[in-house]
Amino acid sequence: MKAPVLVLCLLLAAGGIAGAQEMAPPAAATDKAAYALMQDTLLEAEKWILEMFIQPGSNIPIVVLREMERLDDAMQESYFRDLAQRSGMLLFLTREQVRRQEQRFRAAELSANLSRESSADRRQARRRRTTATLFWASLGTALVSFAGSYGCWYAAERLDQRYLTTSSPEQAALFKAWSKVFSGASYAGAGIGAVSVTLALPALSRMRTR
Amino acid sequence: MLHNGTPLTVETPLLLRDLAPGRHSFEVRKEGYATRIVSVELAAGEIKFEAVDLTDGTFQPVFPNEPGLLLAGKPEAAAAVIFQLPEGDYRVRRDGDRLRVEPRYPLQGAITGLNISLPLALAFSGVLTLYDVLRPPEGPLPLSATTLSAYGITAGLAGFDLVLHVKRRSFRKGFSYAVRPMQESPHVARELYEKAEALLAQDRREEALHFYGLVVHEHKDSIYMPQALFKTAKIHFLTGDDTLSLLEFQLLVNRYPLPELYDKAEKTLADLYARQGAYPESLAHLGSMVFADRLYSPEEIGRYRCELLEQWATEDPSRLSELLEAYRGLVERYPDSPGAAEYRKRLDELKAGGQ
Repeated sequence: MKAPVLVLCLLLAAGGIAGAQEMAPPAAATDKAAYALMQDTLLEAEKWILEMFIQPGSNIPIVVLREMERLDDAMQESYFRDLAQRSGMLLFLTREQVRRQEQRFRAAELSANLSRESSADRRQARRRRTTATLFWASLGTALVSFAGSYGCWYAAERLDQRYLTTSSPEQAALFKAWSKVFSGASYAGAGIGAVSVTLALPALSRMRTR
Repeated sequence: MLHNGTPLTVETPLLLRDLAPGRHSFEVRKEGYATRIVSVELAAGEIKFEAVDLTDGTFQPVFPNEPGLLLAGKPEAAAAVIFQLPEGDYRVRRDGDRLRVEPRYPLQGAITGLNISLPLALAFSGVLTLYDVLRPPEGPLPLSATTLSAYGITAGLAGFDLVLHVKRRSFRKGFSYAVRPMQESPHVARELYEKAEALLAQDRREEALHFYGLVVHEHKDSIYMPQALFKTAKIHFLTGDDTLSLLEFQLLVNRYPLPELYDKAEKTLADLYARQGAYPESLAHLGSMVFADRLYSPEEIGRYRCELLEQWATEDPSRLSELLEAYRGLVERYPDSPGAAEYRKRLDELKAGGQ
């Protein structure tokens, strides 16, 4: 059955059902006729939707979905709970099918979005790893440099003391020379430490972003 | 979802066939949830099921007795809603007649620690400076390397403190949560589903259908939804509503191929088509079974396939060769099965031209 024919059938059926409910008193005969009409319409609709479900590549036109919604509205207003339930389920199944076919139409777009998001995430993860490495490396360097700076300062002070107390001029010259070396190393350590801390701070701020 | 970096545009749950043996990586994404990457090692012919929980890292509190709530500084109605909050520490206290819920920054402990250590480091640097003033060091600078290092460490701590404060601010700004009506909460879906199950146990099918329908229509993202759809389809199958049942099972195999439902749905579809005399469709559905469900064995389904082919061959004798092939397959594949003698006997009968 072609889609326009089904739409027409559904339209007539929905109109007929609504009209019958408006006009008729709830007499048994009218109820029976209305029930039969609704049931036949539903069965036809179910068969048609099933065809659409199982035929690969076939799609349910959106106009059919709209008519299904109208039919379901009419069914829901009826006294027949079983038919209303079936109609509700059929509408749900039709909507799911329409949603799936829309997804198929948008497959290329969805695929591009997924790829873009995934590669953006991967780039971000790579940046985060690099930043973390930079942070820990610079923090470690800072700690080692500051510790070395303190050590060198202590050694320079000790050598200065020995320089002042020694009686030998050769040893005094040696102590002085080494004291200068340690003093220089102490300043160099403090400088490297300061630079490393400066590097570690922005790295930390970027690292903590999720 | 992405499979080995290639986007798959269909939604999960998803059945992937014909994957090559080896390691496969799956990246599962959904807006509003953290992305999960799972790796699966597949052997040849192996069937594996992998469940990925994206709600990991959140929790769902309710405040049914609170008239109002101040959540992260934002007023929210608390009655009849369910919150979805990220895991973490929260500070909860009453502010007048409203409950105030404040998320706590994960590194708040470090900020508190720095509030103590920073003044101490500054005082230590001050003492060293005083020492340098009283005993000026030798060298080009008026301060010793130790004093400079102490200031460096103090500056580092101050910078760390500053960064933490900035981060805490962005954490508070970036804090997000979701509020959903109580009706859509998972426990409502569970209650409806359990109610339907209880009604079905009492053979009150119409009422059970109503509650399964509520789960299907109103809780599409719930884990109970595929089960409810399966039960609905099964009831329709039992009550003879074949077309609707076919549609429901078809949706189930296409959209919700869960390991506990997929084979059952395919088998029932095969039964339904066979009932209507549509043998090619019926056999196609049997062929689609993956045997993830231990309820079915390939031998049992092979035997059922033979039965269907026999029925078909009765109507259409040109199918006899397929029937012979099917029995031959059974005999070859299951030579040690308890039914092997019967298969061989039937094969011989068919070869001899018997029916």
